[in-house]
Amino acid sequence: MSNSIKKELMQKIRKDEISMRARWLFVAERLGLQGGLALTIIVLIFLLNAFLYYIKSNGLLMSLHFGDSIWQNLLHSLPYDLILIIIAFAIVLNIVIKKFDFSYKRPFILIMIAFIGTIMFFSTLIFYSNFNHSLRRNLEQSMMDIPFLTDFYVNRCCMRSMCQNFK
Amino acid sequence: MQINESTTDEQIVKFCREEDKESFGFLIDRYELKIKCYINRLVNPNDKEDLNDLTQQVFINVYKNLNSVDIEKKFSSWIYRIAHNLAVNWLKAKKEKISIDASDILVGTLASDIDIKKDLLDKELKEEINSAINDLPDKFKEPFILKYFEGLSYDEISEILKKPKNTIGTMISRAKQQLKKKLVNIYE
Repeated sequence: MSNSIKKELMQKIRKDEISMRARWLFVAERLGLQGGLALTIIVLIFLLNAFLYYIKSNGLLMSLHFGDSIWQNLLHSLPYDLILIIIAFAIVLNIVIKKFDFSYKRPFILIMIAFIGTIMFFSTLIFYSNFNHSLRRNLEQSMMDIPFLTDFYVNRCCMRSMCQNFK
Repeated sequence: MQINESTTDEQIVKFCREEDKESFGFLIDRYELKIKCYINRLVNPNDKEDLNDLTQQVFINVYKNLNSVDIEKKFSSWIYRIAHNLAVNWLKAKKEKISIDASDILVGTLASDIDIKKDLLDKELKEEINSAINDLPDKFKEPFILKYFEGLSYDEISEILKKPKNTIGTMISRAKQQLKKKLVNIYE
């Protein structure tokens, strides 16, 4: 066994050439990670809720009963920017979950299904509550123009956009 | 605190963090040879200086991050994980593959575990065994080395490689199947 490695290391430790990283740094990292996970989940819940509200308020699913050309209108009318943002946050969720020890205790696919299921459950709860209507009313009445939110809820989540496709 | 053979690694870590950083030497004494052998098996460097440098770097990283150790979990899994990551990064930087030296393989254990006759393995030249194991894909080789060369449990290997225990079991099983196929083909 080589004593030189031990000798060299211990000398560096005594001289403080190597020092332990402070405990609070690891605590902060862990809290940051937990906070990041919580934030990602909350954002995904509201994004998914917004997607459901868009589908409902534009009557996109009802239009499927009216024939093949409506599929083209449906595909044309979907909120692709919102879908892209949802996908981006889903990727972030995937990355953040893998930083936690629980992510390898069980098959990862099951863990993702559990998270996605939970997100869908809560977004559906919010969708069926008064949240979207209240938010839209407040945005319509407010003088402020909140980026993305105002345009999305006031202008895009309405039957007008669907009706215009029939002209 | 009196540190002796019965003192657990986790107790030494706690003592080192809170009271006496000199006690880190006890951890080096316990793990230096194990880590050096493990890195040697993964990396098999031509230059022994690289081996010493990597081993030293493991302990430097261990010391720097000692405050992150969860003493409710096994310290050994944590230090092996650090060693594993350093070795894999070194290999990537050198663009080399994991290449092991099977000279100290436990022939009897391996024979029974991959269900071939011991005398078949007794006939093996060291190079044939090395070649067969080295031909395994890295994802099978890593858990295989940890199981058969380091003698770690599936739980410990799962902690080190950050993969589910079932996956570890599957990988080791596939490694054994491929080895059996290759070794039996050579000698039948």
